[in-house]
Amino acid sequence: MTHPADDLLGGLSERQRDEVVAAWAAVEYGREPVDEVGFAALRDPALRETLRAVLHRTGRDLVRVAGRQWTSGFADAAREELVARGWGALPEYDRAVLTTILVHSVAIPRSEGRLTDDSWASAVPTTVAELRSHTQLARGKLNEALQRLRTADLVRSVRGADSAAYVPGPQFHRLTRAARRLLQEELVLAAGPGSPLAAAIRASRGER
Amino acid sequence: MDPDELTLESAAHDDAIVAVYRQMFAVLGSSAQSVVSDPVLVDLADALFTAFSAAGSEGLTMEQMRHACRGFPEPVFQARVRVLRELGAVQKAFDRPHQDVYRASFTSYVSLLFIRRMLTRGGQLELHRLLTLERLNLDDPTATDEDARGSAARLTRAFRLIVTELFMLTSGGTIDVLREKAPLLWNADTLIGEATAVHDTMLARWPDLTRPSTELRAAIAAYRDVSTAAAGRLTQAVGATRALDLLPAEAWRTFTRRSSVGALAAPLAGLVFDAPRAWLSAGDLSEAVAQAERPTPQRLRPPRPDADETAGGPEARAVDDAEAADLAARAEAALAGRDAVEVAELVGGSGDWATARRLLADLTAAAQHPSLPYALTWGDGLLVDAEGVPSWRGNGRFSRGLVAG
Repeated sequence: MTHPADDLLGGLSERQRDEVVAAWAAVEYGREPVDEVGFAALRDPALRETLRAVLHRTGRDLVRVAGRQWTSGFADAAREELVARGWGALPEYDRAVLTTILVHSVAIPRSEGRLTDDSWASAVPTTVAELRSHTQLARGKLNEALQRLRTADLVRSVRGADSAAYVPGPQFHRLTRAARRLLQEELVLAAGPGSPLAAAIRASRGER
Repeated sequence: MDPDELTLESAAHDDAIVAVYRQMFAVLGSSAQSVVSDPVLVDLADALFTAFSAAGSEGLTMEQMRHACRGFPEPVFQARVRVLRELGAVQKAFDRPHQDVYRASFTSYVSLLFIRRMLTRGGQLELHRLLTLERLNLDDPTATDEDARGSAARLTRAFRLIVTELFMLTSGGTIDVLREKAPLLWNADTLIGEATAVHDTMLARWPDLTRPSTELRAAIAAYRDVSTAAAGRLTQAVGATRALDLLPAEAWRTFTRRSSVGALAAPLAGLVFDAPRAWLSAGDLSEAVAQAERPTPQRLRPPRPDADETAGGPEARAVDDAEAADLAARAEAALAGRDAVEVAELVGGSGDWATARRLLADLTAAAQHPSLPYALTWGDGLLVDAEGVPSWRGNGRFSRGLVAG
């Protein structure tokens, strides 16, 4: 059986093929984004494009995180198709918990000027108490949902002052730029549907 | 203010606050230097007014005032009280010599309340209240068409000014200034709704006031356009997460508190995340890559006489033959007389995964066996069938080659 990207790798020298495959394994299986220092295929633009093409064969894309770090995630076209077919989506309740964590750990600190990076990573934890008492989430299912989200690396637990607390997990680095933008727009549309921001988002979608 | 807390950031923040104060009192100021230069001075005035309201008609002596403001340095306190007295915000209760009891001016306190509110929303809340008041005025049965004309003119002016400010920011201003003025954009929809309601009331009651109402309508439409354009410019410039801070924190809190599970889940509906699996740390991966064996160039074996190849002995060959015969039998059963067969068809017909797996193993072994003439070739693509067992199948072909010999 041949790998779907064999023809792409066939044109490379043995050493280059090694580099591409090593970088491929690192971005696909590494928990956190990998530094390009350790991988020639991430440093070299030509090899990087080959790596991107290899990833594209399986519906993945190379995602630059911050500066010199890379990881992989679903390519935009693959993501759209999966969503259209309803495959691989998180259960509704899990998504609700995750949205709440994103709002408390990213959106609110940003609004208050405590976060400035353009990323979904955050050091501001959302406590279980916040999830439990200030939302309409059914309580009985909360722990299981958090467990599932943690296994999927969608949230990371941090030691809170007196109870468990969560921040968005490393999976959020795997979102492509378009996916990150989509998430931001959807959150703005949901939280401030009457704001001119939402109007501007709707207008720009109409143009697209 | 505690000098330890002085940072560039806090100074910028204070400057912004004072800038709002200055703007608000620009129409009253007698000179450019007449407005406070430190927001702490307003806090001090606030503390004073609180003390005065607690004291009631008794008033406060200078000592009591000093006690109420004990958190502030003495020179600051004295300078502040002097200015407040000069401007009439703090007055002697009885205008007699040797009388040391003071009272606070109600008007000044209300203006302070007003300032604090202006600070939070850049005047937009006041515009909301103005609209409500104008609407009450117009609903009043004794209102005349002159009143309506006045209302329309005031609203038109307010909207035109907000439009000009936003327009300048959108077309020529830096993105940072635009971000600072973002509060002007909050609740734009409700503002437009309220203004339209005032406009409709006016037009329904005084249908002949076409000119003022047309102007008001144009001003509202211009505001709608410019606020959308400003928000558009902001969202384009803010990258993939920074637009989040353009909504006030309170809007986010309300969203998570009041939304149902379905509404909370909706924003993530368009995203797909990787399934849980054993992720590795970047360090482990780098190490594995570093220690991986580099493929060594294959060395050709030196030529040897044919006789050496049967080194396995007759027993090994007998085992091999039995295995080959067995595999050939299974392969023939799979082919069922045909020369070639699609793997997907065989696997799909097996009914359960365990049988399919065994079949695949047999086919692969037969194709790999050096002395058997079968080939297994895989093509691109997958057959996906959510109902079938297994639910996906590779696109392959199992065939019998020419029998050698």
